[in-house]
Amino acid sequence: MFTHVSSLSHCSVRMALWLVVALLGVGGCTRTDYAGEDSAALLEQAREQVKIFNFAIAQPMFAQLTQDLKEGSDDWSEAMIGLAVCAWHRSPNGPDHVATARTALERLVAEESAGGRFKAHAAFMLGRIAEVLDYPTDVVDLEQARKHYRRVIETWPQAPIAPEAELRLAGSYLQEFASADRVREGIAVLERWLAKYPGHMGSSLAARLIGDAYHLSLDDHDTAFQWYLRAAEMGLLNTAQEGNFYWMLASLAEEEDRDVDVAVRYYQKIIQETPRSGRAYEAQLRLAALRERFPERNITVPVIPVYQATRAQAEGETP
Amino acid sequence: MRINQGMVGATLLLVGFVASLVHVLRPVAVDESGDKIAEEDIVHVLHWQLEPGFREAMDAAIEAYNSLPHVREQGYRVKQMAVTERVYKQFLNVHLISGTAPDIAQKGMATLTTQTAQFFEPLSEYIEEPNPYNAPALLPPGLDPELVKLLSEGPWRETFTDGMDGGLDQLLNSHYAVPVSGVGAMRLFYNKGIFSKAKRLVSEGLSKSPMPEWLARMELRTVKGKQAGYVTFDAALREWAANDEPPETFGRLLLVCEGIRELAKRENKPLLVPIAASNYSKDTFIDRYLNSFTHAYSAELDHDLDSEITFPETIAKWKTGAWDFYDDRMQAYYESMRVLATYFTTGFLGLDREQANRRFVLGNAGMLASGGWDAESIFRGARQKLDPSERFKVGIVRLPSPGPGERWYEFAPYQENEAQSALAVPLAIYKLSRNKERAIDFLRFLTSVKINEKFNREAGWIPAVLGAEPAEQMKPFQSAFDGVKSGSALNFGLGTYNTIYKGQLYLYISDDSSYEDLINTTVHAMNDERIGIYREWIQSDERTHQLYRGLERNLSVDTFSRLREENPVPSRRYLSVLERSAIGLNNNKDRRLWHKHFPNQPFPHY
Repeated sequence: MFTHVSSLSHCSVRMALWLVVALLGVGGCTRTDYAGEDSAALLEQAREQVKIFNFAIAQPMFAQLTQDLKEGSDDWSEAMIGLAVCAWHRSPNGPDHVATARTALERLVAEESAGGRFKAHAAFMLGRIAEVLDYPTDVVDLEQARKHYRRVIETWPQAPIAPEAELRLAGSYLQEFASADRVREGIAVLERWLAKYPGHMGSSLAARLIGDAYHLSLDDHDTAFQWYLRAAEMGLLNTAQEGNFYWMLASLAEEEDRDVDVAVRYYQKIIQETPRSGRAYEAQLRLAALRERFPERNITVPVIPVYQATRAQAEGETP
Repeated sequence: MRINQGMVGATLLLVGFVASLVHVLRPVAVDESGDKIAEEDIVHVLHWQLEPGFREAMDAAIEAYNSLPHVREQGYRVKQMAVTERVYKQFLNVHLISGTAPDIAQKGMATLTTQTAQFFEPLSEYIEEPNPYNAPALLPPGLDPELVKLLSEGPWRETFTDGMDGGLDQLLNSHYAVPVSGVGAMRLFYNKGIFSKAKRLVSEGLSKSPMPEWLARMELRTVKGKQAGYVTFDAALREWAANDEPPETFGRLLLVCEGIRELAKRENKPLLVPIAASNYSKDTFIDRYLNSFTHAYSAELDHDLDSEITFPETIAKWKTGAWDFYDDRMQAYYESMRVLATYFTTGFLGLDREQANRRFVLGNAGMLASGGWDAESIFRGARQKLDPSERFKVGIVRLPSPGPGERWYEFAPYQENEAQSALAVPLAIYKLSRNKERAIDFLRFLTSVKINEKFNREAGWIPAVLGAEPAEQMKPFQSAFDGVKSGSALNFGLGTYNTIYKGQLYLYISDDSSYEDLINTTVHAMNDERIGIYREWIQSDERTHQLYRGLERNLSVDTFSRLREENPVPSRRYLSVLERSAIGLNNNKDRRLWHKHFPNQPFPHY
């Protein structure tokens, strides 16, 4: 038997001490002055705080670093971006914080000696800030967002953030769904993206976005189906949603007998590969209906692989 | 010699303080072999499950783990900390803030546990690897070979009955907890003795000519051009009435209810009711059957084919006439609920869960709707009575749908499946824990087939892992996979008008208002500018905005963390969050839906 000797007293002492610390923290004693700290250590601390979303704590650390470090150095650039991340995402958000973020990013983009990847990242973030609604009176500025995304794509095409900037550029058009031309412009950006980054892990996302645009904005189910099929064959990013995506694909394939083979294949995949999607039983019903309509195709209806079923029962009683 | 009393007091205080300090700073635990364990070598597991059996089962699992050779060699131990629900929230919140939280804590309840990324360790890299405690040699014999392969070679995530959804943080689109138990699905508990007597009355009545009036009016027939009754009195029904099988269709459920009512009259038991309903269980019936009855609308409603019917999708299609409260289907749903509610305890809206459970356990009700969490106390209550003649056996059955030849069959031929039921007791690893790898190792051990089966059988819960067999009494609560998808029915949202709708619905099923009242009041509320559907549409838009803003924050932090990497390759998890953000079109999905249905109207403002 495992015997605890003094956890109660230990726990009480520690809890009391930490309660004092917590109360002091609540009382407004959060540290904001980091002057004179070792920059390398402070940068590491600030990074760790960002990782756990402690933006209000990390922001003054980054602010101090932007003053202490050599302008244009990689550490300074990282600190500028860190400052912007914290200011943009700290809660509650408001125009002042967003302005702080924007100012830091614009300063980094304008700094000639800074590295391209950092400047690209800053420009990308400026695009996101322009596109995303941050507080109730904020305004979405898609033109401004596009300007920043294009700058990333054209000025720093090798930057790691460039592929995402191009996806976001497409998204800025796709969200203007009231205009078919805008939607088509978004589709064109995505098609160029797929050609530019063959084999990219995000390819299925680009294909899915094109499918959505045809399906939900342009009402072109034939083309949407083809793109969804490509997305599925590329491998979906979110495995938790595979069952729902396969259901959409199979439903579109079955619609007007667009592609019965694909419908059968994906209904079978739902049953065999995503039995917990909630669609497996309905996929069996759909397959049974297709088998009746197309007896010559020898359509098989797989059993749902519910492993506990063999050892469980549907009803029971008290022992 | 004069004694300075003040000095003595001060000295005693000092000695006491030093003694306390030594006590606090020394190794704090010894195990049965007398080994001293330093505080930092104890992996604490915090939870609030104080139900009978859970702590004992956890202790047994921990003892088995602590006995493993590698655990003894490394000199660490696992220890559970069970804290009552009353203080769990405060206890964990304080420790999370102070940096002293236990290595493993049950998520939920404590508000700060919603700040997942801040306080808990992401498990993405672990859950894609196999669970070494499910190696073939460690698995129970007799498992399906494919299952053995999945358990021993597949990702840890895939070994859970819910695909580890119980540990998924929806906002972060990543796993932060390991669920270790299941609570099971909602079921009907039934008193086998009462059922047997009621069915005997039905069976006897069916053989009489003429049939007794109470039974004759249950037969499905047409009266003045309208359907009346619920079941067809055919050979199959007569055969079922003569045996002890529970009702597997809605019509037979109603027939048993009528039989119980007749039994109460004949045996002069005014307290005996067919169903011990309460304010707690009323929505079990209403929600389950809403899904069965209105699932047929889902293909029309699901605008983006994502398999989830949202409130805007429901309302857009209502405004454009794809469904209506006066559709035969909708009327059938509401009428069926009203008929069912006639068998509920009188005044059920004013009764709570305990009152309903007590009524059933006392033998004053034929049925009770609840889940596996109530099973042990109900079973115990039914069998532990001083007077043996009052003891009874409890049966368990799913809420049935109308069967062929029964009223409403054409509207609701399928039950709702439970394939997506998420597991419970999600245990997360504290971000600042010094024992992360040890904590992971213990959670793998606890969710291995043999250990998880033993743990949950002893605790009286349902195992979380494929291939693990629950205790006999819990088997009927396992998820059923047949039936239509849950969440694919009409979605009435969360707004104020919905409160009015629900209130009217309860009045209607309690026979306190008419169908016209229900619909007119609901539609009036839906069209009300201040509280109606447009207001709810705006609020739904605001909620999804918060969701997408949260995704943006996660993406920002992730890319910032990879800023200095030489060749930063976005992780699959990052890309799946990006996908969720991108397909949301900057929170414009619902606006696109609005534009499609109301192209000439601006999106509502408030």
